[in-house]
Order: sequence, then C-alpha cells, then structure tokens
Amino acid sequence: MTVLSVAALVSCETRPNSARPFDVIFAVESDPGVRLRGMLVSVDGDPAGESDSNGLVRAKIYGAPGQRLRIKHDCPDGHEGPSEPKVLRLRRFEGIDGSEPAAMEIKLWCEPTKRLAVFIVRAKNGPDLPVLLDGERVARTNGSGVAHFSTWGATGTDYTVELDTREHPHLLPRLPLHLFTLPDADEIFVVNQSFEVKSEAQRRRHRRTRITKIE
Amino acid sequence: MSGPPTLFIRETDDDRTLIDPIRLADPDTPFEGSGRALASADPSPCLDGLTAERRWPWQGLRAKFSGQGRRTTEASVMIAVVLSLASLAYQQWQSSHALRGVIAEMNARRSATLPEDFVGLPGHAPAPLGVETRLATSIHDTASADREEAESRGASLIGSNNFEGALTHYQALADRFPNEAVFRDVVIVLKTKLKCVGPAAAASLVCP
Repeated sequence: MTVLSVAALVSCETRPNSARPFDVIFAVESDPGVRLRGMLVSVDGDPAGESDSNGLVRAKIYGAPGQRLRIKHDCPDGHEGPSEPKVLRLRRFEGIDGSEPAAMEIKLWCEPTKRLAVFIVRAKNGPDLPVLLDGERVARTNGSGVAHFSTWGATGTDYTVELDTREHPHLLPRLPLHLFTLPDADEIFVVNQSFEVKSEAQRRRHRRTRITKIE
Repeated sequence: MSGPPTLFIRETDDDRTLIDPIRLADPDTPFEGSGRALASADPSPCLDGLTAERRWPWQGLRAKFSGQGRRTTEASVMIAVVLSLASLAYQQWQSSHALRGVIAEMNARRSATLPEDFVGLPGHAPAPLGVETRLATSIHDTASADREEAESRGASLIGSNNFEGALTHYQALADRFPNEAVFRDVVIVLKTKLKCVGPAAAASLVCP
C-alpha cells in the first residue's frame, strides 16, 4: 500500500496537475506521400518512438495547453532534416458533439540531398549513335534510335545531352544538344530528336551555284 | 562599241561555263521593238531585212554533220546507251546477289533452330557441329530485337505521358533485365510520380 502511494506521488510530480494528454501522429516523409520508416522522433529530448512501415509515429504527449515542445527527428543517409527543430504548441480541441478530438498529424520532412534523373532518348533516323551526358559518353542508341540512362544530382543541376553524329556525317542536324534542369523531385527527361538523312545527291546539289549560260 | 562583249571564266566554276557579265547585270532579255538592239556577234546580211529567211539552229547542225561525221555521232550515242544499260544490268545483278545471300542465311538459321524442337524427345540425334553456335547467335539476335522493341515501346509510353502503362511495362523490363539499373530507376521515378509508394499505393487503382 505504501509502495503504491509513493508511486502515485512520483507520477504526480513528473506530470503536473495541469498536464493533459494530447494524441499526436508524426509522419516522416521525404517527398509528398513518400514515407520513411525506422526514423526516431523525440519530443523535448524524450524519444516518442520510431516510424513504422507506414512512416508513422503515434504518441501521447502530456502537457498544458499553450505549452511549446521541440520536435526532432532522424533522417536516413542521403536525406537532410531541417536545421532547426520543429516547435509544437499544444492546443486543446473538442469535437462538435463533445467527443474526443482526432489525433493531430504532424509532418516531418527529410529532404533527399540528391535526385534521380532518368533520360530517355528517342532519335528518329538516329540508330547506333553515342549519347553524351555533359560531354561524357554514357549510352548508345539502339537500332530504333532509343537509349536509356540515369544519374543522380542535386536539385537545380543542369545537364546537357548531346547526340554524337560524327560517325554518321549524313545525319542532320549535327551534334544536337539538349539542356535539362533537375527539379526538386525525381524526374524523367525525354529527349526527342529527329534527324534528316542527307543523301549524296542532295549534297552535290547544294554545292552547285546558280549560273547563266550564254546562248 | 560594236565589238563583242568581254567573256570571262569563273575560276570556282567546275563546269567552266562562260559567263556574260552584261547579261548577269541586266537579266531582262531584249526583244524586238523594245528600243534595245538584239545582241549579235556576227551580223549576217540575210538577217537584216524583213524578208530574210529564218534558219533554225538544227538545220545548221544537220548540214555540218553529214556523211561520215553523222555516222560517227550515231555510233557514239549507241555505245553510250549500251554502256549505260550494261551498267544498270550489273547493278541489278549485284543487288539480286546480295538478296540471295540474305535468303540463304535465313534458311541456314531456320534449319539451325530445328534441332531445339526435338531436344526434349527421347533418343534425339546430337546436333551437328556448329549448330549450337548458330543457335546461340540466333537466340541472341531474337533477344536483342525483343529488347529493342520493348525499349521503344516503353519510350513511346512515356513520350505519350501514359505513366500507368509505362510503369507496368518498365516493371516487366526490370524483372527481365535485373542487371540493368536504369529500368529500376524508371520504375522508382514512375512510382513517385503516380504516388505508388507508401500506404497510398494500396488504395490507388493505377498502382500495379
């Protein structure tokens, strides 16, 4: 009996009388709708739990309405959390019919430091062409003029994709260049390029000058 | 100023055509009654009067090429025609020869794939030497052609913004070519775009 009384007193000391329970759900995301699992969330330095397979941490926070709490969370490798911890101010809400309010959902972001850029080349009349990414050969078009390749880069990175026609001098335009900028998301870039096949007869015709003959 | 107009040959001209700078500067051809005389280097008395008889150019040529010269010209033309026909016939023969070679190769490939159909049967005869190599080459060709077609199809789906169809297609490609990381990357990006990651994926109808 004495032990129980002491335990009750201790619990009253850690949680003041004014403290009330608040149901909070933390959702750890890298992109909108892309949840991260296994991330530790702490409230005012105390661990609130690890995100589950759905990227959620369900916690019950005790505090007085108006109290400010500092929320911190971990981020996986290749991701970056906010430099400053998030501050949560507790507010009490009641349902219209007097029922218990639903749990608050708070999103915690872990932004990827690098983004995935996938390039798909569609070269009409351009089979077997080397493809250069920022001047470096990364792929070659197949017999249908299609090539796939991908790379990782920081948001805002500029890429130049060039189709090398030096092995095929009859193709026009020569060395066409395409410029792309990586947005703040993974992206697929489609390079549509149409080539004109210049025949030998056409080349000879272009060389000729217009002349007037004397009758 | 009754002298003949000065003629010069342009050095860059391959045909060495004579250029008349006066005609170049003034391309309008003078006509009778326009007040501008028709240029004539060798005025002939028979052309002076209105009664002058008009002579056509080929009449002069015919007169020039008579007898032996005419026969020589005709023979030259005949030789030229025969030579061009012979050249055409040779080109046709070359293309038909190449076509025959392709057909023979196709027949060889078809006969090479025949033993595969009977591999599972008991007591099948061993494949002749060299058939396996040809068979492997044939399978490789077919596989690469299939892959080429599959890649083109995927690129078309993405090019036409059919991301749902593209996701299914590239997932199949990624399963078929597990060593090709780029197909997996395409799937990752498409899943992100279609929100096929996380708990929303189960509820979504577009996610496979």
